[in-house]
Amino acid sequence: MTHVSCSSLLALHAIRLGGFVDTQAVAGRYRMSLGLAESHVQDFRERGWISHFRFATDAGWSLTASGRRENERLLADELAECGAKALVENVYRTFLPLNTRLVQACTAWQMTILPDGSMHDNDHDDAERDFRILSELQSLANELAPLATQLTERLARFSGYDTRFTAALAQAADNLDMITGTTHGSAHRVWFELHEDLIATLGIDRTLISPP
Amino acid sequence: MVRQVPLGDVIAAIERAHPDRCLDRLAAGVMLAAQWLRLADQLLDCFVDQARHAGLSWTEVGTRLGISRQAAQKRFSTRVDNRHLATARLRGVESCEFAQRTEESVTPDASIVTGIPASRGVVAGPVRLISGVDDFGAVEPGDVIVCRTTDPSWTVLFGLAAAVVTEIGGILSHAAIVAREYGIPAVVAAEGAMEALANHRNISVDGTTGFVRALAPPTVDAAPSGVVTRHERQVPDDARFM
Repeated sequence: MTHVSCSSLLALHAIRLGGFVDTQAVAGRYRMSLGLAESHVQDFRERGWISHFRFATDAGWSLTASGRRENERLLADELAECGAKALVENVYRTFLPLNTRLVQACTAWQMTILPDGSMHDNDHDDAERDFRILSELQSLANELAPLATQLTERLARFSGYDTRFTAALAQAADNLDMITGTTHGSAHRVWFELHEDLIATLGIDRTLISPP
Repeated sequence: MVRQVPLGDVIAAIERAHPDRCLDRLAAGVMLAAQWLRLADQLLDCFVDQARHAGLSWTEVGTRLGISRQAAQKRFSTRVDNRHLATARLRGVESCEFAQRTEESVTPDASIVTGIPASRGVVAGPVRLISGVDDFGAVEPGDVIVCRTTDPSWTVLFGLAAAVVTEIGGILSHAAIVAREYGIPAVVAAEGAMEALANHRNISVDGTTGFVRALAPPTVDAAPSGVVTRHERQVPDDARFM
């Protein structure tokens, strides 16, 4: 039986994963009602777990240092409670080599690095090269699917990463930005979010791990 | 009317600073040109902002700029909130002596930190050290973000920043991928960058070579920060200017 997280954990975690999100996006991440998300956001703000930032025309919430600690405490408690630590660690170990391939494919999608170290943008004129990259990403999607299933069978909040990643690849034929673009649903964004989710769930400090 | 940029004086100043090496003159020229392009952007930002505050439409603004309504809106709509910043910087420009500024900017051997070049381009801007989310509020458009590493919440800053310098990571790291998408220069794995850049106000970041240089003397009278060159490697001269 999969564990369903409580809504306050999900709301806080939505801000962690989104990084900088408005209340609408907090609600949207785990499909909670806007009213519920608003009440959690209000509570988090009063506790000093989130701060409101305004960058040019964008405004949204980000976790403060104490909010981040609280987020990791809640995730660690949940992981212990449902006895899923070993499983998530195992998935993370399998994920890391896939992550290495993913960032290589994304970088190749953006540019070519010549032997002299100079970088040249991928103008997407070489259909064969693009096809090879997309095939690699498709193969990563296939390998991601069983990992996502294992995670979701234990923790419901992990659902959707594989289908969102596959959906991004499917849209790439019409929209090249769906691979590495900064838009929310791009393949790289979805993958980066899963990476952050695994790191957060296991309480790993990103500054102490080797790249990427 | 603001007087014209004394191009001859600037050229002469660069030639004086680098009497022997043409490539050093070119490097100084690239760095200065990057600064001026930013100033030109800020000039336009300032007056587009004034026009918008006066209630003029994007169509009218676009016509004056010689671009379409959509292009004007896309380019300026996220920047018009930064009116005070643009105006403040503009004042700074009027009072500065170009030739004198040039002498400062082209001081040779000003590379403070070197890392792995991860996203192409050369840009200059004020240093902004980011240790955590709690520092986000201080970030201004056009800042150079200097940090240990980045996670998803930080990538929002890339939409504002002129460039990014990280202490860890690689050309393949998530942060590098996102920086390339935003088209901002990035230097990664610049070990000791936060400490070395802490006393500098303005730096230039060369995402093609991995060099981070000082544009002005350190803001305190501390001993000069040591040159951190972890990734000493041969970079072809021509690659530096692409």
